[in-house]
Amino acid sequence: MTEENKQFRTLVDQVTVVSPADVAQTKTTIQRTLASLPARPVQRHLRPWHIGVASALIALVLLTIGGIVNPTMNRALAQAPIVGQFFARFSDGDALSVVVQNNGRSERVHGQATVNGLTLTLESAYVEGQTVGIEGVATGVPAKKDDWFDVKLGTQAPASFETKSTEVRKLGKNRYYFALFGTLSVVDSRRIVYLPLTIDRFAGYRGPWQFSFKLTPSRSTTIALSGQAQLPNQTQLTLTQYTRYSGGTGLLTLQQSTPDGQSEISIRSIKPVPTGAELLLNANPLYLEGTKYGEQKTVVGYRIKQYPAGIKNLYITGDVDGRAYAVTIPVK
Amino acid sequence: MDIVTQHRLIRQAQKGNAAAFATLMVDAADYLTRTAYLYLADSHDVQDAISAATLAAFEALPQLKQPRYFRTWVTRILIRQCYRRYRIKAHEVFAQEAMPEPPADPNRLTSDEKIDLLAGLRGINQAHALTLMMHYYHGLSVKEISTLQEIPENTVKSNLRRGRQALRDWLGEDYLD
Repeated sequence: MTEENKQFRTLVDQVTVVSPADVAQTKTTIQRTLASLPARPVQRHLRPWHIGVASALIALVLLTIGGIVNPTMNRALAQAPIVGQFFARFSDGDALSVVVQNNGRSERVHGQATVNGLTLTLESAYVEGQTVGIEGVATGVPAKKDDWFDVKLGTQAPASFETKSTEVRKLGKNRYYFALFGTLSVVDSRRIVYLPLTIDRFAGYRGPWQFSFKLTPSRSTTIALSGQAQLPNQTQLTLTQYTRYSGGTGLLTLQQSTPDGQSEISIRSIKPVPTGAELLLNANPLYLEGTKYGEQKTVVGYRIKQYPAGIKNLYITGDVDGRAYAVTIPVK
Repeated sequence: MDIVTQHRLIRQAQKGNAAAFATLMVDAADYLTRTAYLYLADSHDVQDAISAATLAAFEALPQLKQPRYFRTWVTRILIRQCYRRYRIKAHEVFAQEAMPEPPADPNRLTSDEKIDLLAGLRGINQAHALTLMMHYYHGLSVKEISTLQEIPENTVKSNLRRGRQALRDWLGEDYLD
């Protein structure tokens, strides 16, 4: 914990005292809330390491057999760029990037800049729908002073590009992984994207490191949907369309209606069958068609994994102003 | 509650045992109440946020990979619920008032001084104060705050800078140096 954290915690701890009555009320609230739940079936989950071990074994068998019977395949594998090494660097929170990279849809980006011995190398990037992801590796970083970097975009960059998050993670001695995620407007997301960018400050060190590259958006197909569900507090969800991107993800577009624009509808889970795999990749919706948070009717897009063809329903759970809901919406 | 018992209860709760989960949450009731009051002023909102966080946490519990992070994980869920309610009611609850006098000795505060100091924290621009609270008190990263508040990371950093400056203006130039 830094000195700043300690100082601030001390200040806050000194001034926040809750009464025993409040704590007793909290205990009652928790017990009542959980008592109102229906019994939940026991679930068994496939852990990531199960998948990892199984994939590694299958790959080992295939490579061994392939190598024995097919020397050409061995040569091709030896020459292929090791893009796989980047897959694991994206964190769980950026599941969309993992899907896109696992589908081989991220592009290799070449760019390197060194300032005061600190080298930033861009490695891969993608445009999948309205989401943009860029990643690279920093070397020669003496010690991380903070965990972010500041980015400025050049004038050729799409005006709608909005930085959503950055990530800096240690890979080894003086080496850091970094990633930048942003969004584009629907119109800009359909064109080739030029991204001249300048990193002014990286992990507490001054730059600038300058890069310029272009990205080709994933191809997409869109189908219209209908189907709706009533939610708590007189709110409503209506499916409007589904767009599939070639990187393996999709955008599920819904219209949200609230009586006065005050209710907040959130979605925590989207599944093709109640006990099936989670499709939702990012619980933060994109606001579409010029609508904004707080309006009575909004059109929002949720980034999901592509759903299987021929599904009849989507099982959606979430909450409206803290009231949980679970609905089944027919996909027509 | 000892760590072994806590981890056993988490594993049971992850399999759908609501009673085990209730035990864990009730054990943290004091902490949860204090956390909710840092972001919300009204007791009904506090209880409502705790109820919603309890439901959300129970539903998402199978996704918790490291039981040792249970407290941190629940805290983030609760902060999210509090922030939603704060955003709806922000204009009703917090009137911007004149900052109270800073305490002479923050280590020896009377009850009245504590109330004044809390009012002082709340007197700082709310967006800045909430961001300070999330970052310096609850340890949320700039990225997490950006996602939670649905604002760009640069705005979060700017709110942190301005919040720190407001605290320095109020509590002294060397505060948070």
